[in-house]
Amino acid sequence: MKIKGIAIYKKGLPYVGGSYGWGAGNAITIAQASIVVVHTDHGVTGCGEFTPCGENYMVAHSEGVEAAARLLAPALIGQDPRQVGHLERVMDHTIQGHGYAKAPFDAAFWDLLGQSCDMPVWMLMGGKLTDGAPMYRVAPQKSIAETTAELDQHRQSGYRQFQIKVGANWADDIERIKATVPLLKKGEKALVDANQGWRVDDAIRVVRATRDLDYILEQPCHSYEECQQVRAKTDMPMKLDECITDLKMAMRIVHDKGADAACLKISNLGGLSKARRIRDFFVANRIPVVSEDSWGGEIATSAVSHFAASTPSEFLLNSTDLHNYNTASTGKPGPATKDGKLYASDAAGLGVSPDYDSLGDPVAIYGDIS
Amino acid sequence: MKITKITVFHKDLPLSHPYFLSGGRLRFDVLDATFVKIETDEGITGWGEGTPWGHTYVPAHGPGIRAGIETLAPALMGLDPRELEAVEYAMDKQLPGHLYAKSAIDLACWDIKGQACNMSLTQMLGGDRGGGVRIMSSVSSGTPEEMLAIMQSYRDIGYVGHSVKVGGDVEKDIERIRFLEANRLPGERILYDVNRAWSRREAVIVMNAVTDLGVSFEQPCETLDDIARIRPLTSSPISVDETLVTLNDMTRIVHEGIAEIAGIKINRVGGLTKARRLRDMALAHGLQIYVMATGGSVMADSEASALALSIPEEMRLGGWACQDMLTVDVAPGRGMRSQDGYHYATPEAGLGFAPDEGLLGNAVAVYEA
Repeated sequence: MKIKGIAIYKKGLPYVGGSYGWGAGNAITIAQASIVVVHTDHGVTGCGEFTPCGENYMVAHSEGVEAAARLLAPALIGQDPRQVGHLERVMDHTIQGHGYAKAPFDAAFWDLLGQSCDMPVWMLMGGKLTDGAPMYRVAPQKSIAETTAELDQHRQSGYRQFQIKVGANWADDIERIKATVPLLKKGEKALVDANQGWRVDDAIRVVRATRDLDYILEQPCHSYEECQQVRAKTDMPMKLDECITDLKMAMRIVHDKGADAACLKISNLGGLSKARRIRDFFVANRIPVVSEDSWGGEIATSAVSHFAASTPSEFLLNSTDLHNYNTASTGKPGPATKDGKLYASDAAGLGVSPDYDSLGDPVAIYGDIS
Repeated sequence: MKITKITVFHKDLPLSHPYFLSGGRLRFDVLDATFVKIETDEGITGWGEGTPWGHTYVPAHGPGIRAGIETLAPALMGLDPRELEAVEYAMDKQLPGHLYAKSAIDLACWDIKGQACNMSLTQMLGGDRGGGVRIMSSVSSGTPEEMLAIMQSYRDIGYVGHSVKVGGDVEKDIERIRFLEANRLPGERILYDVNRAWSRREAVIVMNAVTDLGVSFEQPCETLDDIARIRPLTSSPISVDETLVTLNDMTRIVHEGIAEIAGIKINRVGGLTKARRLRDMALAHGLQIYVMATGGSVMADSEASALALSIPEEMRLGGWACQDMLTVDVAPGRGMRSQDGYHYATPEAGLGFAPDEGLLGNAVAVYEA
């Protein structure tokens, strides 16, 4: 099997709730998805997607995939897409870094490998170690009565983990945490996510003011070093997220005992191939992980679902149905969700096809995509 | 003053000879250059260049610069280009990382500010500290005799400094270094540039085998971790180049004593605004400095040498004139040109010149307020 052509599509994905705020006053209304479709001489196609949560959320922006494709596509056409590890090296030797821009290519190769041997990606990655990944819901910021009612609704739908978005004003954040965490029931988890939004001194104030509550503190500050400064002052479990970009950082975290949970955003790590290595390393060191991505439609979420399904359930903290956050689609069908859980497709490959009606015309074509 | 228009040009800069790095591991024939023109509501126009060394050298590629500018441009319109750090902040907020994509814009703003206050880039950076910038040649890997022949060709046009690319086979590298040192002229400066090619073991073997020669090595291994590990195992001075990107990297280098020399490439680190801070931290800790653009035309060379000139002469090891390796010249007769192997300060305000737009081809993108 050989790659004969590659097409790049772009699609704006409006947020289902209008505006999604993610810390330090940032918000997105439309996320820009880049979709890579790899065509082969056997007639089958594979797909992958990268969608950032706005251009400035991480070191990853939506123009990056098209730009990288100009150099990657010529190096990939003619290669056997089933040789996923070989193509990872080809991409790394063609452009250094820019893992997020390579991630959709890597996903498309896994998709093709799966289709060529009639196996879902979760099977290729080791098997179904989690049958239904638990998901979380964002706790609303409303009156106690309204919040309690909404939490009850989520509970009836199967959710047991609730995220509290903070990271703007630390003093308000303390009140928000104190108001919301006590509304949770026995066995439920509260996740307090600052998305890198606090300064070290403010983060320390927050954890000190809320030390009698039980929650997981997520990436309080911008860098790993800052988070460690906070960690030295608190016994709250800490989950790191945006600063985990490669295996080296994972090794540093394990060596330093720098986190109690790790959020793995597949694109931030450079794609499924690299994310799997990092996950396995964390799991071997008994650190639970989250299977996630920065944002995404059905194609990106399919990759997330297979990654979650192939993670041992006792080490999978949670996952996310990113595709249900948008009012437009990148592929079909999206992975199934039921009773607060995300399920990977049992179809071959990623189990999702590009939604060409939604994607429109490609923004770039390399080789033959007929 | 406000930024009103940004025009982006894409120009291929062919090398006069194929260039091999790291013992032949990487080959380069042409550089993909991006030229940025920024116009303002007060009629002042500034220019900046961003030219990575191919796309396999460090995490920086030509299409990535233009993609970065596509994302950055909306955040730049209406800003006062003289407020360099406000522009820097806006860029870092709009597009985290991707420093190499921001460099050309930062440089164009420096050019504008210089013209607005009638000061050259070097004056804005603290002034010309005298002596000129010793221009290092770039001697690609080969047999010892081939490499000496390349060195000689540079000597013939006045060069008294050489960056010699090693980093292949251990025995051959020792042989190359011994041969070239035996043929080094009095007063000539040679830096042995490994471009990350050695493993820790190889680095220790070669560097310890030539300690009697007192030579310096640039970027002997892939990562800062690697170099930190071998630093105490050899007495040869070490320069950190590719893995010096951010102020955090420089902090680690000086805190852990990883290097004696800092190689600051202004396009890699995000322009003069960020490069100046690296310069100051290196000087505060007694590190000597090489300053280069990364690659590119006379514009990139002049931008880099402007910073080099602001470094005290005794701490300034050298610069580079990549222009001498190209078959095209986008600003004939203008900018800093090698004079007997040195670049000297130019008096004109800002960068001091603009390229010929006709030589840059068609604009590939135009952004307007």
